[in-house]
Parts: sequence; structure tokens; C-alpha cells
Amino acid sequence: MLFRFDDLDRTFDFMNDLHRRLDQALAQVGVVDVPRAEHFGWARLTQQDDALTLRADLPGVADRDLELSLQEDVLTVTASREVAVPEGYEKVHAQERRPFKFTRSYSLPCRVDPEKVAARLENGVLEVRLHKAEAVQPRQITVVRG
Amino acid sequence: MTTESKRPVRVETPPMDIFENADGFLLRADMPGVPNAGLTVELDKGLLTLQGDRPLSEDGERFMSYRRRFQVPRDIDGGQVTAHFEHGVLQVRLPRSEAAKPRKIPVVVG
Repeated sequence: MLFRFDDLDRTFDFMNDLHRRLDQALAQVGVVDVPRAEHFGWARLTQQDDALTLRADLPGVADRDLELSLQEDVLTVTASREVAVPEGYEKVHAQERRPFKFTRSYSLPCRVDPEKVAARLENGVLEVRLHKAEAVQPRQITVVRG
Repeated sequence: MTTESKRPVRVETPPMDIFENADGFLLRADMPGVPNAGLTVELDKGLLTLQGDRPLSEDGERFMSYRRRFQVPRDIDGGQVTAHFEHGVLQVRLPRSEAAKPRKIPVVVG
């Protein structure tokens, strides 16, 4: 044999995959209770007092391959990536990374301020921060003593 | 990041692509959320380790690791291995040593 390219961690793939599937399945039926977080499939939404934060792993997605839009309280994410065999490489030993192209809409739990949306894509992770509309923010009410 | 002495909350096997040609290998691994400082690419006695530590808390105290290990062929030139990280994808090139590359030998006629 000309080369040896053993993947020592291959054995753990099955277990990892099983864990992932189990997590996903449990999350879908709501068994996994992540504090202050909701599962949106691959994305997670957390709530702060005055904001909502959506985080999603999007490895390999460049800025130009990502689109975000907000209409009322519906956030829509469109993202894609390609995983073509690089030119000049004729042998493919493993191709586990999957290409994807999807558009998903998330119905947010409250109204948000369309003027205050900040999104960044860093190290393959998308983070969208949305400020809750003034009307739905918690308010301190001063009690007047009489 | 000072994660060397600490243990990750969990270790995951990142999905990878492995390509080969006459010049060597090209590897790609999805490691979203790993900052540059959390990356380790190490080749020691023919054992290649790719690792990315992803912080799970603001201070980085809690983190998980993506890890994959390979036994690489003997003809890989350890001194020429290069790694590149972009959009959460680690790309590593493992070139063969010059002596191991296929060579065309000109035939002198006459």
C-alpha cells in the first residue's frame, strides 16, 4: 500500500453522531431544558431583559453567502456553502462536510426594534442581536407612597 | 487561551474532508466558534493532531474541544505543513517531501 491514513478517531464518530441525534430529538420534543434558551433547529435563541440573541453555527459560510431580513417579528436567514473537491486533488478519502443552502424563518417571541438589529459572522458563528421594542421591555414602576 | 491545563466540557469529532494528489494531502475540518488562539495543529512522530477549543462561557473557563488525530504517511514533510483558518473552517496542507514526489525522468535517445 502506498500510503497509510488511518483515522484514529473514526471509532468515536458513531457515538458522537448518536449524541447529536439524541440531543436534536430531545430538543424537538422539549425534553432538554436549556435555561433561557429555545432550540430553533440548529440555531439557539436566548432572551435578555431588553434583547433577543440568535446564535447559529455556519462554518464555511462567507459574508456574501448570508442574508438576513426582518419583517415585523419574523427573522429570515438565508445561508449557503459549497464543499467542492479542490482543483487538482483526484483522490477523495473523506467528504463528511456537507454543502447546504437553506432559508429559514423564525417567529420571534416578541416585537423587536427594526432600527436596532446587529448581526455578525465570526469564526463561522452567526450572532444576531435584536432589541425588544420599547413597549415589551420590562419597566420599573415607581410606587407612590400615600 | 490558557486551556492546556483545563479539561474541555466535551470533545467532538468535527466533520472533515480529506483529499490527496501527487503533491500531498489537503484536509478541511468544520470548527465553528473557535478563536485563532484556540487552534492547535501538531505533527509529532507521524501523528497529526487537529484541535480547536471553543469557549462556552464569556471568560473561556468552560470550553469544548473539536479533535481529530491521524497517522500520516512517512513521506509527508513535517517542516512544510501549513494551516489556515477561515469562516470557522480549518484547512491543513500536508505536502510530500521532494524526494517522495513522482518525477519524470527524461529519456536520452541516441
